[in-house]
Amino acid sequence: MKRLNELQPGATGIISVVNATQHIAQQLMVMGLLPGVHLEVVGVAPFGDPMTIRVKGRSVSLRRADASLVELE
Amino acid sequence: MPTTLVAPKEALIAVIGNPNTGKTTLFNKLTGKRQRVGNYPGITVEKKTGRLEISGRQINLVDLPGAYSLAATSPDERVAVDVLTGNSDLPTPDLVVCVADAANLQRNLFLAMQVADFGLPMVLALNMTDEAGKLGIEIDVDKLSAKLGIPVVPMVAVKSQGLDQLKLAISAALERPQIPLTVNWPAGVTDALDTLEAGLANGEGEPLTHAELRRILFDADSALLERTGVHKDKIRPLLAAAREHLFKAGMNPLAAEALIVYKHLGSLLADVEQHHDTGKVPFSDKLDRVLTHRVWGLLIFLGVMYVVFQSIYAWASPFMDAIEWLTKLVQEPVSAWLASSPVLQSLFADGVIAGVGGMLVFLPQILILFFFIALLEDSGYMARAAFLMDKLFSWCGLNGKSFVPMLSGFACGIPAVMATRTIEDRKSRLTTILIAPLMSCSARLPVYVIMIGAFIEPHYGAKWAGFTLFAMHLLGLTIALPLAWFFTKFMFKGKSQPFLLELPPYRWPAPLNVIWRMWERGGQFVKRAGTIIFAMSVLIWALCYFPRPESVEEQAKQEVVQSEQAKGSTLTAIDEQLAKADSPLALALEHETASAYLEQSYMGRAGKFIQPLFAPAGFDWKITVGVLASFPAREVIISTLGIIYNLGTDVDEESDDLKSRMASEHWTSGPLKGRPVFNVPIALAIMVFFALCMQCGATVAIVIREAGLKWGIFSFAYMTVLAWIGSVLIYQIGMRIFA
Repeated sequence: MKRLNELQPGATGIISVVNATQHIAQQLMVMGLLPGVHLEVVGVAPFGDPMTIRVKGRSVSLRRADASLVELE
Repeated sequence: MPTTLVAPKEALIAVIGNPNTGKTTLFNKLTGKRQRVGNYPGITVEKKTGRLEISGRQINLVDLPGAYSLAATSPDERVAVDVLTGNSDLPTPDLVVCVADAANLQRNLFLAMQVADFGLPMVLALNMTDEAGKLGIEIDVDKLSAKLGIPVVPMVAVKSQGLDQLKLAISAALERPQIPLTVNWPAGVTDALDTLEAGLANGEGEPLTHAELRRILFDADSALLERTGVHKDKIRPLLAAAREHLFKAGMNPLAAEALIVYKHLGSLLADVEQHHDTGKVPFSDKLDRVLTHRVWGLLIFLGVMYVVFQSIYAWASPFMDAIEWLTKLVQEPVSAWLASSPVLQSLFADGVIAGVGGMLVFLPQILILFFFIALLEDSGYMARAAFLMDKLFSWCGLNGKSFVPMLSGFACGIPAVMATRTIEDRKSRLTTILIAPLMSCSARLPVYVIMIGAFIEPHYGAKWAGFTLFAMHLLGLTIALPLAWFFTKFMFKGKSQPFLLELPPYRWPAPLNVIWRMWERGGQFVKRAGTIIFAMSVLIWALCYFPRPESVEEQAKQEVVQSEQAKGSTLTAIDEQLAKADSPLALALEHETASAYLEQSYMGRAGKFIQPLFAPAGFDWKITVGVLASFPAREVIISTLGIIYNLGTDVDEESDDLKSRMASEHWTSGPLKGRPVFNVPIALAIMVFFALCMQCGATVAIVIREAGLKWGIFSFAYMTVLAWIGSVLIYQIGMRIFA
């Protein structure tokens, strides 16, 4: 079981669960990061953070710390 | 029966939608010029309203801030909830127009479902259908309309396609409102609501609808909590008990709404939306591979920033010169016209016209800056910039969205503070407002130029001069970020601002939109900053002008006559010279008189009085007067010093006369008597003071407007203290090194 923050650019995956322990998790889910959804890591900013992922046809950027709440299958 | 024609009553329509859905374009197309931007009372959220007429009915539109969810975490989202529940200064809307991006329907409908919960009539504007088509997305509009229970109008707002149909749909919906079908909430949710309702029944608040209760249940800190009439501390256990029902039903309260609503939308859209694989990678993605690349993205970004700033200076210069020329042009006839009354003449020529001119001179730069910001925002590149810069800001508690305000600050602090509106988090926004004025704005440049030109370049050469200029610009930035860290940690209890940003597809900016936004922001600057700069200019003028006893003029004349006699001229020759308005002697007398008047004016006296405070920084009373006089606008110090040093007001930062005069100034009294007033440490101290001080009445006014009186005063106070500390430090250390 991997977490989103561990993925490198080019990696893909399907979300298994979003740990709803913090408010940011709610915002991630509203953005479309839900169980069963396919995503792809597109890139990473110059200093390693934040990262950009593609989910449901849209690009979203988020910080690695927050990405750790997303578990993948 | 005779038919009575009753004019249909005015309707209020709220426009809501995700960011980047073209909602603003649609709003502009509907309202045209009949728009107003104001504020909601008591909070610093922008209120955008407009009017239009459809089929003889007057309609008021309110553009609610773009949001992904009504879960109120930011003041913007709170405002949306307040307006929709009729709890703002506006009446409850008669209709809601929900703008959705057809290429991203499921996520856009999440917000629509939350709004639908409130039971207001709704119309869905399905925008950007052209982009959806290119991505291979096909939507059955009739089916969607049937399943949602409301009219759905496909549109391409930027091309005005579907606009008339939307107006018809709005008109029809006002006659025969349709309320959208809502989600079937599972037992866990309904049980939780019953618990909440029962618990609040004894409270003093108004009875809340189920939709409002659901917001309280699902949101971490709902805006509606205040309306329950129950104190927050008593609410917590009640909420916990209610949320227990969700846990028991196997749901996490934070995740419940998203999971339930998205499941509902998933099945709703199953036979409404079809995706055809076009096999092509969207152009936006290809572009992003370069523009968000670790190395290339950053380099291109720096390049773009460089081009933007060069353009601002290059394009603005001719306009600024023109405005300065115009100012002088107006001053002459006005001066002549008021020659009979010296007071009025000076008031208008030196106070009013100079003040207005001094404000207008910044308008070209500000307009061009707003132009570029609108261009970058509409094209979608601004989000990439925030993404690239986020790491730089995250360590001090801010996020990449603070980037645009900070960048704008290098042109002018006023648009910088205005630009903080895009930051949703209240504390981050406040912190950014507090540090943005530290960015070295263009008004500080003349001060740097003259000080470096007079004291650094002659002794140390062009290389060191350039380095000092660069260092001055960097100074504000290097202090701003650690200061932000300090503010976040100690004043705002250290909660770091999250960063979750959608990178919208790249789009060609609509020229009209860009021009419109540039014009609107420029107008705001003129209205808000303009009045303040104007008022303060007149005030400073008065302090420098009064009192005006004639004895001063007479004494100055006597001194000039005596010194000419000492050189051997006869009285008749002297009088002849003085009679000619343009003779060097007459000019010299004029300048000396002006200087004498300034010295004994209220401002001059204030300067002498306050000077001991600035003594540790090496300032004499003349420099102090210059500093005080430039509080409405920084570059005033140059003309003020010009007056004090008997050179008249017609000096600027290139003026050799002023430079040499400063270099030859000596202390006439006090502990440093006989030593030169200006030297390298003093020049540096003056520059550092200007770099760090908020000597801009207009910026203070804007901060007061955007953040409140308390923060405006704090901001002014802390920067003045910082500037004083900085200049004292530089002077004291400098004297040890250079003397």
